[in-house]
Amino acid sequence: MNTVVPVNRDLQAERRAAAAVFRSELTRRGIFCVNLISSPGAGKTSLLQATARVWPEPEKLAVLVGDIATDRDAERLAPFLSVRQLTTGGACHLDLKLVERGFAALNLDGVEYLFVENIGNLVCPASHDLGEHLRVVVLSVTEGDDKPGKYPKAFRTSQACVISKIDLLPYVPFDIQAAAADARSVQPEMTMLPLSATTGGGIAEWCDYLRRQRATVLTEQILDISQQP
Amino acid sequence: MHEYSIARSILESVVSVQHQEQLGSIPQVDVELGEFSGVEPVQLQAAYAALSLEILGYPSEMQIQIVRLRGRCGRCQDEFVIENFQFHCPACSSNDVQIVSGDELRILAVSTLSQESEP
Repeated sequence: MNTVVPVNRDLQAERRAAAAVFRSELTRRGIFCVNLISSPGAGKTSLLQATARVWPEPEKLAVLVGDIATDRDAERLAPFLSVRQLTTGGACHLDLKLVERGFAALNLDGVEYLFVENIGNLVCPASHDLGEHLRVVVLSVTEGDDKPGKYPKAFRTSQACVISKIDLLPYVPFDIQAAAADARSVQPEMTMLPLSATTGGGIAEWCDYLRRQRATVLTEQILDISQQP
Repeated sequence: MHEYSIARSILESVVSVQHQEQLGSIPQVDVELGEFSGVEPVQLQAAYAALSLEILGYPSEMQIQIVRLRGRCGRCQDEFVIENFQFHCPACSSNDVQIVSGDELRILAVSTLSQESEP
């Protein structure tokens, strides 16, 4: 005879709570955390290189870069930024524990922005809150403008969508307006940021967007924290 | 493919409930899973079944109740099932839609063989 014993343990709530604790810690230290997600090869690392090249004080930027194997991305970014490679050894996404370990190993003196470059994958990273303040999905023009609707969670959970490699627009059938409309059908508040890391077009707008978001989001969160009993 | 790590944490919970409540063997766990949780139910069940042999030492199976992705309209307050990830209100077409369910991953209960029935 079977007896049913109630458990009622909400694993999602536990994960959200753990991410919120890390987010508060980042907020308290004035570090604005950006989780970059995309398919492999969309240009996350190139975007960060281009960002560091034009940022007035690149020593205020730090990166945790995730890959399944190799430290190639860390090598690419090291000349520009404080960087730590996170290697998952097969896992298709970064999780909070891995990010917290990498965070503890970074030199964060004076750092104001922490980028977490996720594993190239538009599926699993969407389900993992890494304690970030901002989630940005990068979509390159070579992938096609129909992707947002095909990967709804990645786009629904992001606040901004970078359209990368726009220097290639003359050669590929990609319609920025169509991509924006598709993205906004799952995330009406989506900020669209078309740019090219190669030519530098749109990078200034991206940097301005980051500065505005840092100011707004950190202020809101500090108010939230101070109002907690 | 993060179903294995989720199955492992569910089994760790099962073991901890088993110790706390001093239960006998647990041939079944009941789980509530949102359809927007990003977790694939069939893979989760397979991972749980396989890992139960390793962690519990006997087969245990997972029953899953799927929770539909539902939204609430910020304009007309209508509540509805979101079909095909179309995040707009079927009543007034507003796209001011908050998700109210569909992201669940909750262990509801464990089934245990009653102590009395064991030899």
